[in-house]
Amino acid sequence: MARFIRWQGIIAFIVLSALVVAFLYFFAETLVKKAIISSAESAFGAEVNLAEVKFGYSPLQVSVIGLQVTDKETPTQNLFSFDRATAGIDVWQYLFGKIIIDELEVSQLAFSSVRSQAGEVYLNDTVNEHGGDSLAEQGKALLPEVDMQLPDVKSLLNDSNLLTVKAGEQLKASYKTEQVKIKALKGQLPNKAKLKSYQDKVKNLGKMKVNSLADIEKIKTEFELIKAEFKADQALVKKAKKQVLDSKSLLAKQVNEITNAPTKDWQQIEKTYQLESIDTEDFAHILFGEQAREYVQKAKWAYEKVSPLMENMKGDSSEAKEKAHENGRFVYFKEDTPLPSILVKKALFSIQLEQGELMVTGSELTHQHWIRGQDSLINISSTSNGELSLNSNFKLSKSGDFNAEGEWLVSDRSLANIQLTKSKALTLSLTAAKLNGKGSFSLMNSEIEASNGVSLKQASYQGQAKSKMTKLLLDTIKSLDKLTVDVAVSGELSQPKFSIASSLNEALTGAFKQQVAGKLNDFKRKVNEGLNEKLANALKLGDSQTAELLDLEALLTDTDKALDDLKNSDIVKQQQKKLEDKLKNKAKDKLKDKLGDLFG
Amino acid sequence: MLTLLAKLLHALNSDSSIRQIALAIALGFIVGLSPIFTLHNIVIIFFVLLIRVHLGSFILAVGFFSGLSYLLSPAIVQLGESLLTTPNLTVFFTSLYQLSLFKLAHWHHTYVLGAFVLGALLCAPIYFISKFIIEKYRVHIMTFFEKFRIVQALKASKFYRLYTSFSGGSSLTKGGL
Repeated sequence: MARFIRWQGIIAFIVLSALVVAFLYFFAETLVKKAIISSAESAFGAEVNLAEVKFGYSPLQVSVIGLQVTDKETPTQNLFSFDRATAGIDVWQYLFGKIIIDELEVSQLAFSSVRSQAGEVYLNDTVNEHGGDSLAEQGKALLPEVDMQLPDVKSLLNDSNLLTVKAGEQLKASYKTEQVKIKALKGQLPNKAKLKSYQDKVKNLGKMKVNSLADIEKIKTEFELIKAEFKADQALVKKAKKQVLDSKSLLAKQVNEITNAPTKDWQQIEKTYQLESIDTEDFAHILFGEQAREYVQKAKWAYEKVSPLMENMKGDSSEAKEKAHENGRFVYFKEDTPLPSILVKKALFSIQLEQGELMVTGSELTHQHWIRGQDSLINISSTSNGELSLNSNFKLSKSGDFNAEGEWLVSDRSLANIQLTKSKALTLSLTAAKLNGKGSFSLMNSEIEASNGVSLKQASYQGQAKSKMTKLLLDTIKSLDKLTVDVAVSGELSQPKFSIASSLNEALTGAFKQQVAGKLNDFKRKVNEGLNEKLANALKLGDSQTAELLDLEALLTDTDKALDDLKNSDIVKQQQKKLEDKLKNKAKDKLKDKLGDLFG
Repeated sequence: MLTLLAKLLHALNSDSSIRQIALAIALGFIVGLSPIFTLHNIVIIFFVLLIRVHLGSFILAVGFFSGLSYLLSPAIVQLGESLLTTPNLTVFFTSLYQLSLFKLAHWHHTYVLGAFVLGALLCAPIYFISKFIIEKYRVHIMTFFEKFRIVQALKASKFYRLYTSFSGGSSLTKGGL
């Protein structure tokens, strides 16, 4: 046996194991501290300070004390910092490859706190997250435009897209085309001289002396020849008549269109320049939409930060797959009491904000909700200034669908010195007020649906206005003691639609609408005058052209009638009758002569 | 490192059992492929210390095969992935998964399982190949190299003095390096 076994090897194993355990015991805290700092610095791209990491071994507990993460945008401030974070870890599950935290407690969590000295910044995002104007900025930019929304009348009337202008141009073009067609036909029509020559020819046939049937036959043949010419000319006249009728109906249609064009143009102008919507609701959008947009931006920011993290955790993203391909991954199988790979059973955060302390509690925080069939719950509450509460739950399905919903309530919260808007035309801030409100929201993947209502009581405002309209707005707001705002948000989180209703609307309606109406009426009158002038010019041209068409029509009717008369002339019959009479007379004379001879 | 290398050369040249060295290399292969602090590695290290295998060869083999495992990692992960995700084996692994020992050994991790299976499959061939090479070395290669001038020069080096300190000068008489 001793040939194969060396018993002292057991002692060596124990010694080795003891050395490893001792190393971990003495150096684990330092190693974990360095690991946290280096991974946080690479994640946040700026200096991270960590005072201490402490391990408790029964039960296993990791405490991170005094963490400060520099804000890389503003290195003199922290992105966030906390005094202490303690996580109680399930050791057994940790050894099985899962991170199950029974309780996570973060105390004195603060955002944007001032650093004792500016932190180092290691990397700056090349992509500017605020590349375009934020929605709030866009909202502000709307305000000075309110005074400029009425466009210049002259340039508006010179707009070639106006229907009146277009229809006028079309009418002009149609006149020209029709004129060319008629002119071409006119050249082919028989003129007066031709008609006269026809009449002369027919007259001459009537004057011809007829002595025999051969003469009648000759007249008939000649008349047929002339008739053929009449017919050809009559066909041309018929064609010309049809053309005149077509032209008349086309021009009548276009004249009708141009007559209606100014009305349609005005409707389009109203729509384009939103003249109808220049009402008090726009101001509610501008004033309170900014705040609402900021909240939605925050929700969007959080969603954008969290969703890729969840995708990575699911292991479905290409990056996660690549990483799993290099380092391997845990494959989990069914078990009696399944657990997600990462789970925080209970979390408690105390957050320090300017407005007071917030308590955030969470439970079942994970990215694999389908395993235990429970939603993650997050509750926020504060009683330091009135009452504030938010209850929400979210879950991620196995197929990757994200669902979240929640409700919030604020009552008797004192507000002070909140800037509502700051732009060239209007600066407005809320000096003091009592805030009450409630709302609910739901998020399905990136589709948001939220309805919120707040009311401000005992409100006092301060501000400066430069334009007439903003002055009016400022005065009206200042006169209000109570103000309610209802904000509904819907649609894609990246491009949400806001619907904002406010009691400010009613307050502004009278005074503001009166001002707007005056300005709007003057504008409307000028635009309509311009449009009517364009219409009159177009119609003037139309009148002269129509008269010309009518003259031509009369001429064609006369020509047609003359040709018809000639065609229906009974010249052959007349000559036949003449011959018959002649022959009759001749026969009569012969008979008289014979009877005279007989009776002597 | 030099000491370890000297120990290995001494073992190769000395009377140390060829099987002990070959077994050390084969076990070092299994341990080297997997992350060091896995349950099966700890068990193997325990047996390496307990059984009379050549420790120097084992440590060098672990070092060498750990390096090799970096190159082989995609194949190792692929092997583990295909084993753990094959539908036919799901029932088998599900039943193993109910055992705490299985989870403790991290055999539900693609890299660990792949490395362990690859190590277990190839350790026997590696044992026999190592044994064959060491035998050949002792009979032919060692005497072949003896003839070279460079070997003569090496004998005058610091490394050789270190080597002789382990072999106690006996190698000279045994026709060592």
